[in-house]
Amino acid sequence: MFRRSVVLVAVVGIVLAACRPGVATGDLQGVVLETPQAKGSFVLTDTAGDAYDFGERTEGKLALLYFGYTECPDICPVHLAQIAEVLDQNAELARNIEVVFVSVDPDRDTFAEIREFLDHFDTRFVGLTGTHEELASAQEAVGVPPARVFGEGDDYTVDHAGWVLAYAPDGLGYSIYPFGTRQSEWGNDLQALASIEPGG
Amino acid sequence: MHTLVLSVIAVLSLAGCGGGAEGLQISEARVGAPTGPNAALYFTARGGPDALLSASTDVAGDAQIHETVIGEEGTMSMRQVPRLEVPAGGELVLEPGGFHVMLLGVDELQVGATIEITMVWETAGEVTVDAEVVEPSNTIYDMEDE
Repeated sequence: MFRRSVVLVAVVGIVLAACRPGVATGDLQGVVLETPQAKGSFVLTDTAGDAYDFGERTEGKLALLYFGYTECPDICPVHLAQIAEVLDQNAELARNIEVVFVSVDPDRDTFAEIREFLDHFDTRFVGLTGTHEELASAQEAVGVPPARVFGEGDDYTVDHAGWVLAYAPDGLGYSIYPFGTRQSEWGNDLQALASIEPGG
Repeated sequence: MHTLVLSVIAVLSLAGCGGGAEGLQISEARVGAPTGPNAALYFTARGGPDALLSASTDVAGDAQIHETVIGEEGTMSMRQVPRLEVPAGGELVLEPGGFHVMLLGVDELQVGATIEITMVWETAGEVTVDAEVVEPSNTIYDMEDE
């Protein structure tokens, strides 16, 4: 719990809980953004090798976006496993959600490795990557700090944003999910966000 | 007197939690089922002072002690650390988002399987424990809802 507090404090610099008339963000248990964020737009390449336009492909859907890498054994699998567990238990929710994982380690992660990594959680999860330049633009477009390589040779690690971004079907981000989000909070919020319809 | 009784009970109840050395006790040893080339081992150690210096297992090419650090911007960084201390009378907790032993180049491991980990501790010396392979979402104990 201590670490969870640290995470929350760390994120408080950019976000503060607030209400927005018309949208029931009070029901959200994640870290609610002071001002809802418009969905950033970027194009990367999916694990089938096709161009993937994030804005276009997630239009009208609940979208979750997370930047990580397949060699990350600690927090990346926990985030993804928690989301997969909610979808396992809620088929209706699973029908209108796009869960997007972006590998920020394009030098090591192949498309096949990203696909295999995601299939451990849910075969419907979308895996993307791109050149370093494309990845930098994507991270800038959605307002997360750029991932950075730490270490030399093949034995490096990648510093990356630790939270999952969420966009409701109306195209706005109301909340983010730092590491430490409880399973029950994921369940509650995915349901709540999915009900924020476009124009509603 | 009361304290003494409690101490005796504590020692009795901790005995048998694993760990081959008197004093040091390892409990809750678990490995998240690998989803990539690496996996993470977590456990709780009591009975210090002692320090974990290294670990190894037949199911991985290498094992390193790591710490996940949360930066000011909320960035997650993973760093190798040379040792992990168990304070006298305290505990060392390895858990997601904090410390873990990273198993590099790990074999395919099925949930429910048990793997053997050999650790080298500064005082206790070589300690071998069994770790259960669990779903990645079950590596966290204090985030469970019950």
